[in-house]
Amino acid sequence: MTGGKLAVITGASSGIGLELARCAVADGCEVIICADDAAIAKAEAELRTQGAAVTAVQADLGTPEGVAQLFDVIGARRVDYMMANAGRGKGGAFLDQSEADVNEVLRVNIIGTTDVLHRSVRLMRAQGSGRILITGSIAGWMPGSYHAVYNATKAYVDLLNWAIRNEVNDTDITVTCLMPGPTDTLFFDRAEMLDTPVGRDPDKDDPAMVAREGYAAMLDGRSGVTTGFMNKVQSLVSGLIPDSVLAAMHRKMAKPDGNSDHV
Amino acid sequence: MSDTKLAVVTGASTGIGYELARLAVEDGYDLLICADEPAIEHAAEKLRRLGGTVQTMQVDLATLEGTNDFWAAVGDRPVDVFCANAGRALGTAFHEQEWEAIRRLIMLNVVQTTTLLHRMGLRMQAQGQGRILVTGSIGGFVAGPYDAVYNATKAYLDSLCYALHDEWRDSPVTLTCLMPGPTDTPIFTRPDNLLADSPIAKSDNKDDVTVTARAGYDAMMAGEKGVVPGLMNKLIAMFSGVVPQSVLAELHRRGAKPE
Repeated sequence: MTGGKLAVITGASSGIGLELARCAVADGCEVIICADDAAIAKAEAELRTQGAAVTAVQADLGTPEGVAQLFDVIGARRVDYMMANAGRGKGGAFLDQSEADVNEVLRVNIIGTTDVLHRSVRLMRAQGSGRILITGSIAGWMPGSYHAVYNATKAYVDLLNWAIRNEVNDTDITVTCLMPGPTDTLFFDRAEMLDTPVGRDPDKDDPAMVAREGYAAMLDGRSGVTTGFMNKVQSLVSGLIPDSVLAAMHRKMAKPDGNSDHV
Repeated sequence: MSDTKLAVVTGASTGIGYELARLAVEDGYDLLICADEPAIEHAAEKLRRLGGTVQTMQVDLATLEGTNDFWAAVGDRPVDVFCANAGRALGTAFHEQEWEAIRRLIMLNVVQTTTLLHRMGLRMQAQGQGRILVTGSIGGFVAGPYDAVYNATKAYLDSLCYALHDEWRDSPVTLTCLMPGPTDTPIFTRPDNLLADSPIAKSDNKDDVTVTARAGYDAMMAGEKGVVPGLMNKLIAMFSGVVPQSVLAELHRRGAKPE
């Protein structure tokens, strides 16, 4: 396709990332999709049936090699939309988690996301324009008892979004932060949180709806979007309610049913 | 083995870390202190004059090897007080920062602090007692143009501390988050950062480091959740939930953008 826009979506094998890729394809974009699991090939095949040009990259963006691999595939091409969506959770009490599990969340959510954003901002400054969508989370506004490291990584991502957005405000680059609440994806299974109230909640948001709102906000260059009614309420009150109360609220949602070794 | 208690302080060569170590020595603690620069030995000499037993280590906690070496120096001793204070700032616009400098900042402020919190938390839970103070920042409430990653790392630490404070609410281990505003320490003028030309670095309105450290130390000993020293900082922390981040970001830009 000539003249079409190029969109890059990370964490696109399932969930919100796959839905963002569907939005981009429906919008006529060529897409480069990336994930660390083999399901990325399935996503590639499905998106091709929509008639789109699709390149899949299987890479772990929590490693410098993985990020380099994605940007090698992008090469010298113009990137119109960068959707930095890849992220991981890990439920349970902090001291029950292994150091390796904790580091995995930090590698992917903080180091990998920052590396992708750093390269993207440089690339878009060189090309003169572009749009960035970052998947943060409403969790960033709420200390996450029993999901402490994950929520803290999202506090990092949410705040980084606002700072970069301010720094590029005299350019034609926009930065938008998608801040979903609990969404019906593989996230809770992978985070081993199916035995928690939030993991069992049948009223989680539809990832297709979340992605559509995020994609539209990115095209408009809006600063941030929280999806779902309850999330809007939560992010609104998060500045008014003390962090200690928010942490206790989070405990009720995220504490596993079984007994924890570490209170 | 004496019957005195042990306090471990990271980033203790200067600034808030040094002052925290001084308060612990004055309180009768033995010290294990570290920093990534030779000035740690000078700090130790001053602290020994106050009567404490001071063990030092010059180590780069921005690397996993350094973190492991430091943990080996802690050994299997009981630790009564842990001040997770080591941290750096970077300065200038995100795209102008070198990736390696950003990566080291994240490794030090986020990964190292989390790793030592995890290990110390397990140690203290097993001991049945202990006090931890983490140096976060009011920067964690405010988007930080021209020091974007630094503020984000502090948002991470502030959030993590409040979550762990809740997780450990029935535990004998206490966790306190010190969230200083701009404090008069070398953080703004390190040769490897780019903040020296910013208005905030040149401001003579910064908080006195002894007052900041005292507030943190007392809050830790009282087992409080968190402490924001200084009236102006309390106001910023309070308004950060009410004023949009876009406005806070603009304020931060004015303080941190190089002239």
